[in-house]
Amino acid sequence: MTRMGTLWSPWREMNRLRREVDHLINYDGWPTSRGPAAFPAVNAWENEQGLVLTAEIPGIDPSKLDVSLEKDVLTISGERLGVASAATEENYVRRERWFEPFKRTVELPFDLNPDKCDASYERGVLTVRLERAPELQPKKLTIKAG
Amino acid sequence: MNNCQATNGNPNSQVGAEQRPVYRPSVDILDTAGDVVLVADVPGVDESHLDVTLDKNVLTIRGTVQHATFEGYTPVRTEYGVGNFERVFTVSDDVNRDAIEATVKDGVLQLRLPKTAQSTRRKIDVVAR
Repeated sequence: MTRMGTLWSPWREMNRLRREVDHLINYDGWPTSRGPAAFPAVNAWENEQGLVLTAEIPGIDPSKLDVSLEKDVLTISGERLGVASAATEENYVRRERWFEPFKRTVELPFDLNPDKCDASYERGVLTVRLERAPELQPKKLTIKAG
Repeated sequence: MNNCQATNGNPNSQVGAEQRPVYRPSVDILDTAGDVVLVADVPGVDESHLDVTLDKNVLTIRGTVQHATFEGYTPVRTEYGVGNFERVFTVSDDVNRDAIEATVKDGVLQLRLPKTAQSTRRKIDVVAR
């Protein structure tokens, strides 16, 4: 594999630290994900019905991208594609992108319906739409007139 | 939480003139026999929102990201910032300017800068700024 992914990067470390501090300040009930394995970074939106998550994973073959859900844990794993196979180490003048296999688990704040999840990949961005577990869906009460 | 967007996610981020963060994309540069290939990660950008210009020896890549909004949803977690991409390179004279090709697929820009006939044996410098 390429070397970049395994090199210690002060940027990545600083980024991770900042992310953790941000998370402490903005604690919102979401469990924190720790460690250098926090790729891809995830943004999330929520409403009464469910959740939408997005992650930037440029240049991956969607068939090499795996998204799975088990109760309240979402796992995103895969491996990015390198440049043309003919390229050798000596051809690199600059190398900032990395191609290590990755696996990220995201703990979600509530159980989700495994039958109602939808993942799409467009322009290098993964979008996952999830629905709350049926028992967690808001119920509408009928109010009887007295 | 939203005000973290500009600083989250990318150490190279800076706030642009329109108060929208501008990120410096990660790039790979390869020098092969016939051309120089520049590959940049620009997630969220497609062909119609990408601008590659070569002015004298200055190559500029600009990408405008379409901001994802989800109707009826509230943001609850922001680990990465979404903004535009911009990066500038200096290209040496040995590039055949009329034959530069740019393609974007799955949020990855690939720029092929063919070398001029007399320079195919020489090394071409593309310097990232």
